[in-house]
Amino acid sequence: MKILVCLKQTPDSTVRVKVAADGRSVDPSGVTWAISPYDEYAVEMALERKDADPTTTVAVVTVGPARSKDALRQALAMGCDEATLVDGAAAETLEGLAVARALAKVVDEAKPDLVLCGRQASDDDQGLVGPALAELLGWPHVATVTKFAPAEAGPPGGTNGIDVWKEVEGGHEVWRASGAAVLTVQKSEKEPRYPSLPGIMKAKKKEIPEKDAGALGIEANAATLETVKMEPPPARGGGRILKDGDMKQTAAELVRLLREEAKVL
Amino acid sequence: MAFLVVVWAVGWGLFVRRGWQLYRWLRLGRNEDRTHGLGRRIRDELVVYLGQRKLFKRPYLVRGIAHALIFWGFLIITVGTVDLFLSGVFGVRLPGTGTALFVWTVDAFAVAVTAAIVLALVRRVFFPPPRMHVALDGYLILGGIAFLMVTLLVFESAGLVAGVAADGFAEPPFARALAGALPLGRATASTLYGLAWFGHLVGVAAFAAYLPQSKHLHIFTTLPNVFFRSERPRGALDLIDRIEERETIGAGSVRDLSWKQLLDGYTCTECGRCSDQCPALATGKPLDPQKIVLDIRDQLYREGAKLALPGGDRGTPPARWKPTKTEELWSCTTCAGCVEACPVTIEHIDKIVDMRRWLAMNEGDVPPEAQRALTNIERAGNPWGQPPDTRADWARDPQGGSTTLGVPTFAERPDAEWLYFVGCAASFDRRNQKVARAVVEVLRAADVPFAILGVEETCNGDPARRIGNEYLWQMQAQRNIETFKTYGVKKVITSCPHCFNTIANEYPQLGGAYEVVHVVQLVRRLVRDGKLRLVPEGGPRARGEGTPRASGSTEEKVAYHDPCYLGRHNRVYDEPRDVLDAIPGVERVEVTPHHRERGFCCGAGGGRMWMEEKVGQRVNHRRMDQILAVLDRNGPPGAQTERERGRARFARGGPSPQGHSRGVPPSDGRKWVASGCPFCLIMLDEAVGAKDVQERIKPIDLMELVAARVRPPGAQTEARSDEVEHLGRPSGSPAREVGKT
Repeated sequence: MKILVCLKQTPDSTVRVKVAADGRSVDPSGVTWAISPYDEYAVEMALERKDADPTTTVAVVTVGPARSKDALRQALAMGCDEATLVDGAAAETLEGLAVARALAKVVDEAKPDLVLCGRQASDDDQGLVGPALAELLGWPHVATVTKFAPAEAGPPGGTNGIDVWKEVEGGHEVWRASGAAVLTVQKSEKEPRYPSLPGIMKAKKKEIPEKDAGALGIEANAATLETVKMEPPPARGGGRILKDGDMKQTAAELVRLLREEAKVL
Repeated sequence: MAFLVVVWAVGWGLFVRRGWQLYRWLRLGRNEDRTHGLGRRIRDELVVYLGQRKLFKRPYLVRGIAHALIFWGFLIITVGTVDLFLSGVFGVRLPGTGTALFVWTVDAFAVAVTAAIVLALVRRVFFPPPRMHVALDGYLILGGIAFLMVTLLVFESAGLVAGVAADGFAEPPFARALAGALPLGRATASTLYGLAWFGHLVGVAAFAAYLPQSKHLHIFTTLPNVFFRSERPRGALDLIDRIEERETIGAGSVRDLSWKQLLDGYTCTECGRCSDQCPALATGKPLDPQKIVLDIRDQLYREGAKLALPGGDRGTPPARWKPTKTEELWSCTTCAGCVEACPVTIEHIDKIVDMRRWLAMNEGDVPPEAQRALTNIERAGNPWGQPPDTRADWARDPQGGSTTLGVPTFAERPDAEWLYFVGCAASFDRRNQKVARAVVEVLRAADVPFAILGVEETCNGDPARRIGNEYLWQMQAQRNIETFKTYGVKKVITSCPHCFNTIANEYPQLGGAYEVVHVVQLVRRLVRDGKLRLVPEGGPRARGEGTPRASGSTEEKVAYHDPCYLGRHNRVYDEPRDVLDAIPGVERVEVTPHHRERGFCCGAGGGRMWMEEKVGQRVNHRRMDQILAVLDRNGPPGAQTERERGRARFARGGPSPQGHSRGVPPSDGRKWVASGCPFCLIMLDEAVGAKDVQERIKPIDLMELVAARVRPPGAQTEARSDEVEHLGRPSGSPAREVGKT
């Protein structure tokens, strides 16, 4: 089985992002970048399949600026077989739909049996790329996936499909895909693996082919959406400790403050 | 005679054959140069091997003396035995063996060794210590030695009766006494004389054949094992150089352990002193440091022959030697209790870490919680995963929000003499941020010119290295070394023993050599030199009414907890105690017997801070039990009642002072446990909470105790002078001049 994992490089969750001077983008200075967490689960899920069946190959692809190569190297270090970077001037500012278009071209070329994406990226939380990609490819899409495995009994006609575990409120459903599909991943069975040192070293040496987004027919300024403004959440004020008076008074004062000052009651 | 020669040839032949086999297996290990520092090695040999120093430690003193007698007896009597063989078979005497001194010494030791053997047998049979591995091997060894001693004594005494061995002036006194007690005729004595001689020498040959098959091998292997002991500072792990080019990292096979680590296996005598000290074993974890060493030995014994064949078979990875092995390895806190205890200088931690390295870097097999800490270090530069740009936020005033304490960074004060390397715990952990602020206060009071790195500081790498991720440690260390270089840092102050140990002992491996002190060492120096004066708490500083405990009459009990990486790893035992003793109104309590060299870990070392602890009792809870036990022994047990507290307040003539400078609670009836390590503080705090003993004891950092009692520079002349006046500090109780004792 050939699996393609689409990932995005986003600011690491330990970073406190700041709004840039233009008021509509993130200030990239001092930001540590990492694979977006759901995408990391997707990589782990693909690799778990590879652990179970060594004939599986796992390729990763990302559409983004040159720094995204680090995210691809991380995926290679974890055990993925090959990586592709779609970059170029057009890739810097792409919105989700355009990214999906670029990915669709990559899928057309690579012809994987299965495409995994994270359910949403940790920076814009749009959750668009996976479903859009499925739509563009004309493939079925299953969301909030936690596990997949070869179908116990292949559907009639001989082609083996996969069973897909999908998280739903209070439990899960098992869906079956008979052919190629796009899965957007909620969580892998295990936590994403920590790359071994030989894995890191091998990944460092590996060639990562680059494709120019423009050459894939993606235009640089094809955005249909525009970010108008970004605002950080308001700074948290200091807490207050009520300690004077007896318990009754304190409780009354607390209720008053919650209602009148915090306005949460 | 010819028979005896044959027996000796066979016995010693077997000895040499086994010795050669063991040597070849030893050479399977990785190369490691252990030849530097010849002088120190010779000194070790004299003190540790010949002098038996590590055997006399408490609580093993009696056993240690018994062992030393057997050992010294072995050295002397072996010469006598060789002489017996040569003179009996070939008629040749070794020089000096006829002298009275030699004869008497042999005689005395024969008796002493017999007595020691009896003691050892009695102990083994009737009072075996809980962790003693009682097996046939031990009885065979003791029995063999006893047989040799008895035959020797009989030989000597019978010789005296028969009149064949009377050298006149060199007559052995004990044998003479024994001869008097033996109702023997001359003829019987003569036969017995021959038999005993023969029996003794056959016994020696048999013993020689058996010895290298048993743990008694240590009488030979200890000699090189002590000689080749590590010259690294104890706290330093060894560097994996050219790590990026290696195919296997860490111990993926016994062949990846160094020859010295394999020699450790040959040398272990199964005495169990290491097990006695292990905090993991004591609290029911699967780890036993003795087993770590013995498993390696047993694996080598079992696989050695196969591995020595050409073809490069690498055998089972030691970390997979048995199913529970990984759990054992992850249980270690690297507290060095075992290393300190081992009488034959076995280095347990290196083996554990080498196996962890293989798990972590080759297999990516790390407990998930520990892996999270590693990922956090990698991405955020601290194991908590806190935003790196908030690293210097501790220097903000906790009340004020935005006003900083004005702690300069090196970028702002490039001429600062000292770098205060704050460390992750004091930077991010709320409780330990208070310690960082206390350190600042103390350094300022003594006018120490210092600066911090602020957001440019990153984790020193200690947890990564000890969890086994050497690569991440090297990256972290290199980053810090680069930053130090940028600012020309030469002198470093740390308040965390882990930062201290890593920067002082391990950064030199990557070319970063600095003068590094733990702040407690610096404070001791400052106090001794009169640059830092400690006054009774609430002296010139306290606000509010009432008489603070300026007279120093109310002694507060403070138990000192030795952090492993300050104590055992770096032997900083005295400085923190001196500092405690220099604090007016403080009575130091030792957590006997678990203090100094035998201090008990808090449970956080070796990366354990970042792992869950589900098996057995928590190490920090056991530690708290020990601390509470001594504090209770040292005074009225438990918390004072409210009435007692009231009485104490009354006696002092005023309300309990609440206005301490940083919310240090009043200590009436309550006792402290002080440490100099942020992780000990976290663990002790957790134990206090879990055991619900907040009323009885409060963990605190030494620097907080000091900061509450420093006299700010120029207190009399500057703005604070009015406070001094206001308090009307009685002239009869001046700030106690300390440290000049």
